[in-house]
Amino acid sequence: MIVELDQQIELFQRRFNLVKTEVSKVIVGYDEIIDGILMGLLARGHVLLEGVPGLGKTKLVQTLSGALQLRFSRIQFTPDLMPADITGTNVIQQNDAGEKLLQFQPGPLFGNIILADEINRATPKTQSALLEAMQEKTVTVGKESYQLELPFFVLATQNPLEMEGTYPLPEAQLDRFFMKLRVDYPSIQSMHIILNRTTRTGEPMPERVLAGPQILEMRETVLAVPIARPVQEYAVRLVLATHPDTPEAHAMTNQYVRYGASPRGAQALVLGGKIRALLHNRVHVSAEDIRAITLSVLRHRVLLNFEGEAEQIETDAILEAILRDTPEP
Amino acid sequence: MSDREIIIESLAKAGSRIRTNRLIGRFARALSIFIAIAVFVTAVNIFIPLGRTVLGAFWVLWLLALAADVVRNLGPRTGLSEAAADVDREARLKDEVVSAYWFLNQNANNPWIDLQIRRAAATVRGLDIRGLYPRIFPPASYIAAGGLVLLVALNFAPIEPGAIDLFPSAPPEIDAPLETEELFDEIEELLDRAEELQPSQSIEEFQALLESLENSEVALEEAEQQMEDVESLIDEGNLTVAGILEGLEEVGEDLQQSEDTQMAGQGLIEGNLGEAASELEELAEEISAGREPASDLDDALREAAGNRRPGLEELASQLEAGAAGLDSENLEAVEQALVGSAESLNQLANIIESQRLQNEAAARMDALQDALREAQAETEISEIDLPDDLITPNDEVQTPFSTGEGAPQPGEGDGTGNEETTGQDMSELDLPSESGGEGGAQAGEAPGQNPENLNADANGLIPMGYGYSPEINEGAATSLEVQLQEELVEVMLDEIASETEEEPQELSSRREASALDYRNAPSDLTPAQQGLLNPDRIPREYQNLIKEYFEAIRTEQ
Repeated sequence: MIVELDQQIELFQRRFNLVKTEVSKVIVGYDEIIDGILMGLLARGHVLLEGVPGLGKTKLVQTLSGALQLRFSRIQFTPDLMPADITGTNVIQQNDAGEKLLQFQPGPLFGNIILADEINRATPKTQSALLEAMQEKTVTVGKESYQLELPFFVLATQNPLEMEGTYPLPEAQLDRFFMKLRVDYPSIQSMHIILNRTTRTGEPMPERVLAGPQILEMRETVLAVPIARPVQEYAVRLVLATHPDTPEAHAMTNQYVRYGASPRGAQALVLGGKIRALLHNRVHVSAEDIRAITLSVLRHRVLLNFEGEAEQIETDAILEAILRDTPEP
Repeated sequence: MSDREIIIESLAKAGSRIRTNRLIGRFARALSIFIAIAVFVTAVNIFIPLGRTVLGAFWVLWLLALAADVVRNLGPRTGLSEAAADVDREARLKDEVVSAYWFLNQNANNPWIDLQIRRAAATVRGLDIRGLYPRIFPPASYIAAGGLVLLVALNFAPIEPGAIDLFPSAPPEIDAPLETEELFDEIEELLDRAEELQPSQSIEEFQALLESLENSEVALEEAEQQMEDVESLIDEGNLTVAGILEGLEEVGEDLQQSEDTQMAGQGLIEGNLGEAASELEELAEEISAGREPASDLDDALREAAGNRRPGLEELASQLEAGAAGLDSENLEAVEQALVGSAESLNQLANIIESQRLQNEAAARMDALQDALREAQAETEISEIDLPDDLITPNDEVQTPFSTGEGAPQPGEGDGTGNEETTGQDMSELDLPSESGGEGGAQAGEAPGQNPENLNADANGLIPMGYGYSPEINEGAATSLEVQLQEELVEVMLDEIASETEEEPQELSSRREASALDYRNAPSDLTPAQQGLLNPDRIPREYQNLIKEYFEAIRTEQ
């Protein structure tokens, strides 16, 4: 049995690395971003990518879908986009008997990998249309609920909120993203490689190396990894430290935070920690695994108060302070 | 050995070493602090003697605090979970052992957990626990060791408490022994009685000095210097009393010429002033009763009134008034004059008695100072455990013949007599075999010697004043002190020889002032009276003893 588990772990790592290798053929210099996206996929979560236009966010998602044998949908969010445009709607159709019936026409949400491009350009109303799909993996139109096919993975990109024509995502929707990854400008070396790859003939294309059932299998492996109470308590303490006006709250939290991370945050920390442990050939989660993903997992779950906004406090700064002051097991 | 046993055993071993290292660190830290405190207190004791009581209390508290700290630091044994966390931290195992230990305690049936425990056991088996937790003496242990060496050195080094005096002017607290307490009481009583009879400045100053000494407000040496001033005042009183006694003797001889005052005169000659006063009062009563006074009474009274010495002015005036009354046959005036004369005699009797009491008190004061000084000397020489407070900082061993400040010197007098042996070489010093202050001035002129201290110098052995003759104390100037004194005398002689060559102008002035002293004026007093007026600080019974002493320690040429 133990040998099988060792093989299972090895298989997990191999599959993960396969996808990463394929994505890396196209995407340059974003190893941590790729890891984060794959973690979100394996943790049954969704990932929000934030960065200024032109950094290859969309390209990254397209490449990932290219490496996976999954149905890929792209939704370009615009201010006039309506919820029905993404969920689908009932349309009148005439059957062979000449009867007119309302028939559900699935929207782009019915796919495995959904690219919600520039999600914050749509109005909150449309953004909220994603809520049910992201959490329940179902879409309800009229009186009918439609089950989405698993794996269902939303990869959203957004431009920084200070840009014009953007709407902040509702807190409830933000909380449903497993991670929020920040895409920065590539380094000089990465830029050279990008130019070399994209300005010549024969642009590399990823191969499809992982199918949906394999991904679901990997998800089961992740869930099987045990976590000891001391390490889990560390994750809980980190989350509780983001809750203002509580005994566990950090000083910066009390000063600058309006709402802290929800239990989804703690779930994300533990799941992310498990994936990271497997990737490091461990069958236990360590505090280091938790610490490594804390910023990505919690940064969008901590909402600043007026003072924090006024002083332009970065949530990352608060989380770093919490990481610094929270004792490890 | 199962995976579980491997992990538990390794954690127990690690826990033991963790605890040991932690205890070493804590003890070293605590010990360094405690030893630093002890070194500090020991060092302070060198500069400021803390006394045996304070030191004893400190060491008891020190030991108690150290023991309490040791007990507190022992604390509970290191738990295995704590050891697991520490092993993870030290070996950078990323919570592998912590997780494994926790899973072990859960007894969960899960293949993933079994795998984790197996992996953790393999990892722990490969760990070198001793290498992970080596026995390292923390820096604090070196500090503690250094402090310990310093503490031992300070305690066993031949440095006496108070050897380095930071506050040389601070008066020492004298914890007087029991016998000195009695002396204090006796002197106080004598002074009270003397003040009751006849208040004087000397009594006031004497009382103030006694109170300061009793309350340890003044050092012994300083008290001796102040006593010199008091004794000067007493000596002046003695001069006055001597004159009064002499005058009264002459008055008595004159009064004996008349039959009526013959008994009164006899009483004055014998020094019985009370009886003389009673006789005069009886005579006054008889005259008042109508008896005719003798015919030669007016002559006797008039001649007696001619003795107008200092202190006898009132008596002379009364006697003169009596004679005048007889001449004018005014018996009432005669009676009043005789009563007034009797009152004057009673007043003079009080003055004389008061002076006697002061002399006695001064003698007791000498004895008191001797007792205090001897207590110091014995403490320092024999290292007998006396109260440290009795020992003044910077004190040398002060034997009765030591050369320290205020120490007696050969040939020293009190500076108040007819000191004629001046400028004498100290190597030739010898004590006068006769009274009268011979050689007494040498002390005042010896370089480096303070004439004001002469009384105090003599105090080591010789009580001053008349009417007081304690037993001879010969014990102090023998054995070790004598040998030490030889060396000191040699040094002193060298110093004196060098300083005599260039005699200070101040010394010449002092000698000239001494020669012009009113007390050296020609006198028609009898030798006995001169002896009374010039009391030698070295009574006759001590003179041979002192002479033999200096002959014994004389250096061979």
